Amino acid sequence: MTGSAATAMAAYPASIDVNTTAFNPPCDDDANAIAPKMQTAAKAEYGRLDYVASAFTGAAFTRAATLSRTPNDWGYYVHSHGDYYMNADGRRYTGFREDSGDCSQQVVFSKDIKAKRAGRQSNLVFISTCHAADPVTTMPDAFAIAKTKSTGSANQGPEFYVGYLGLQWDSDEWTFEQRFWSGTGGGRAVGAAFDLAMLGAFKNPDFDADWWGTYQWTGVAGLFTTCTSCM
Amino acid sequence: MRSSRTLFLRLGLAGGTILGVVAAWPSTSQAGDPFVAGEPSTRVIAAPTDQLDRAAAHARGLAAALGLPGVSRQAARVDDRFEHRTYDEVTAFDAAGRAVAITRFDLDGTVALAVTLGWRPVIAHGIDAPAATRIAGGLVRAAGLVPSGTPVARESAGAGGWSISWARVVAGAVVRGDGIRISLWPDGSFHGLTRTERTLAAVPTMRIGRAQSVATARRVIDDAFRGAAPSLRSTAVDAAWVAANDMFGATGLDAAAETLRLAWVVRFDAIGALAERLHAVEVWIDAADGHLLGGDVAE
Repeated sequence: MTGSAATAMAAYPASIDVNTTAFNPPCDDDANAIAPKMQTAAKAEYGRLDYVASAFTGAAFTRAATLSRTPNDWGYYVHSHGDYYMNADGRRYTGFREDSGDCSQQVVFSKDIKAKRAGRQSNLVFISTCHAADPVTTMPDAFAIAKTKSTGSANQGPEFYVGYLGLQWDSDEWTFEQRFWSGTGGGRAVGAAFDLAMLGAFKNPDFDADWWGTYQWTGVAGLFTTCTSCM
Repeated sequence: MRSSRTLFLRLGLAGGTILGVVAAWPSTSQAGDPFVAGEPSTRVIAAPTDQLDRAAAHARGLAAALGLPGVSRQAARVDDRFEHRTYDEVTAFDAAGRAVAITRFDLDGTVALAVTLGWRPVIAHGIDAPAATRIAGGLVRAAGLVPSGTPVARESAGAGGWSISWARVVAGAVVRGDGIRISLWPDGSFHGLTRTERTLAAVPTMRIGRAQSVATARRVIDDAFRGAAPSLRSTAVDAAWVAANDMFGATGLDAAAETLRLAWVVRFDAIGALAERLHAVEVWIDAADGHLLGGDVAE
């Protein structure tokens, strides 16, 4: 095996998809300056956690592009409009809107992601949309993350899913996310980072988020659970 | 970068109380620099040993009052540029060296945050809202805080059971994000506490009226959304203290402002096709002079 091949095998890609067009020209002639900050912060932290992080927005964040990348992604972050959408098959699935650089934005359903990933392992998945962690959410399963909370010495593998419940505001999401990234970047376990993030100063008293995965995991990309206390 | 994070993880393994400054991040800028998205927002800064000793002792007392676990503790002074706050952070470890609790104190010694790390499963018969409120009130007082106003209890997945909050109200308006909040597990035991009391600008002696603020906000919406603006309908107007932000490019800064200002918060809900892209927009108008402070969007 050549050196470059070994490097390629060891790489853990993460896609950072952020819908900016829905909140910026041409759909909105003013700028929502918060979403790009969230994109920058997420990409930087995934990089610090040893993912090969790439950010996509506008015409680069389409349903087709996301689905073509997802089989190789170990980490995934998306910030967009999300909901529990009705699919053409007559069932509802958690999903989010692509950006696509225009004002007509297709839904990326969890069903679509699940089909492409086909049960493949994920690491850190952060769905920064409304409803992504509602009790009925179907998104964790798309990334093969069990909706269980493994704490203490329990270990369900190097995986962690974060999302919001219900309708949330960008300023609160930005507060939560920066606190979460500060925790993971500071070496905290992903679960501890979540706990610290939940204690932020949110303008909406109903702000809520949830998680599933291995609490003690560090969030660092890879096949194995890196932590200080899990078995 | 990896070595500095590893240092943070390893120090807790030695057992016994460990005090001192820990390099959680390589220092990249000087205190007082504005936060820049993508950079770490917190960093450990130097502090006198006796002050860190005092923080650790304070943490032991708080642990006894709230029931926080831990047999050893490690203190560090942290500068948080995103939240414009400097605090002493004390991490508690169990006998195996695992981090089990975190407490933070403002530099005047007032508790800012406390949390028991880990998770507890949902139980079949947890406490109800009145019981959660009563327990939370006792915990707040045990932490040396004096709550004011009427607490509100909400079920919260992220809190692990219940979230009970006391809003901060100044000059008749809620200070958004400020106050005291307690998280309880479903059985009523302590999970977390946070207290936020940010700097406020002076209460304006002259205020623009509600109607004027709505008209100004409408113009912001018309300029920002143009053709889609008719699909945004004003649904609520409330006075509140807000931290100016960059939603409409008002500040150019990546963190919300340090000092909060009294504002008229004008909410617009989306209808029709626009509701497929966003749910609602807020425009924050300074109650003193009518200028745009920022806003928010729910997608």
